Amino acid sequence: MSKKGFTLVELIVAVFIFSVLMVIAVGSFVSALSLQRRALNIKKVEENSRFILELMAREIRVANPINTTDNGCPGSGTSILTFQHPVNGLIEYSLSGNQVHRKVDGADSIISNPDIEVSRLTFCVSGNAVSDDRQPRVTIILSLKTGGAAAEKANIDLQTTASQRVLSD
Amino acid sequence: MNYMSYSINDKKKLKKGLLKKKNYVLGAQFCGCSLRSQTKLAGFTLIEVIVAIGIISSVTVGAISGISLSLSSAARIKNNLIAANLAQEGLEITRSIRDRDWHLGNSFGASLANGIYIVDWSSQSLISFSDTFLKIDSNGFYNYALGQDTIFKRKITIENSSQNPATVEKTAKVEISWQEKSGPKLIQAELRLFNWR
Repeated sequence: MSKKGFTLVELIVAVFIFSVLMVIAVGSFVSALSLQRRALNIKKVEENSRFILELMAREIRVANPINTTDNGCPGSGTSILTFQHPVNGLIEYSLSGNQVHRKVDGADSIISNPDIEVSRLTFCVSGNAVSDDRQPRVTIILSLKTGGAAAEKANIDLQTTASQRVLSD
Repeated sequence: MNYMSYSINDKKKLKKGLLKKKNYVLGAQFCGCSLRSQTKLAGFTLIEVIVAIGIISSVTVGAISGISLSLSSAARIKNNLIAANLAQEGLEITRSIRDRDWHLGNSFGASLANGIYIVDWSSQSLISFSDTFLKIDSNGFYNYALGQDTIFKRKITIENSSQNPATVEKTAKVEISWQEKSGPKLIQAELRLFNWR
């Protein structure tokens, strides 16, 4: 009696049940992990775009003058914008190597995180021509994305407009 | 060897289930207890198994629902951010339309009649309202003419202010509304425009 073991059938059934449970458990952990990465990626693009757009819009509003001339949008926007900021000096925003650069009086710095890819930065300047009876305004188109597996990627397409505060015909 | 020969300490452990298996196997060998009662005492009962599975699965379900909640709120924040920027754009364009009146030599509010409107990024005047989705074109521009519908709608409302006459102050409100799985969402922002340049 004391030597009674498992029969083969019992063993197979036990292994089968165990493996089914393990597959379910591992599968749910793996999918939880990838959901978590995706959430993290969304937060990354969101934080970067919030910072970049906020910085640009704040400076463009008080810019005087905006040096970049009118460009025919949406066909031919530019990815470089230069303007004079009353406090910070001459500022240039540009897109280079999928990162956003901000040059202040010639000193270059990158303001986007290397983790994310800036796939599009377009400035659309209008109302900047002399005597066009329009207030200068800059529309910013910004698209960000992250790398990673298809299920974990995140991207965002943003647009905002800043209208120059100083009256300038 | 039977129950009675255990020390008091062992009995406590037995109660807690620590000695259960080992001692009962021994007990079975020496006391000749029936196989039936041995089995009954030594294994897990169905209730125990159900409770254990219940606890494990509720912990797992809790963890997974927590993670998917974090994903859905991240997605909601993303829509919120797009909407906030579109709202800002609506107000900036309204301001730029007021400023254009200065350039044209018009009086304050000439282009800001009370009512509901939409505006495009390129608008030089307010467009009468139609309940349509903003589109996004292949260059990434949110507009009303080209591209695929987005989930966002934008409405601009121009009103007189309650504090000042219309010749002094106008109120512009912008509303971005969109639909999510959890229900309709709305962002509202307000801009006070004054007869001041």
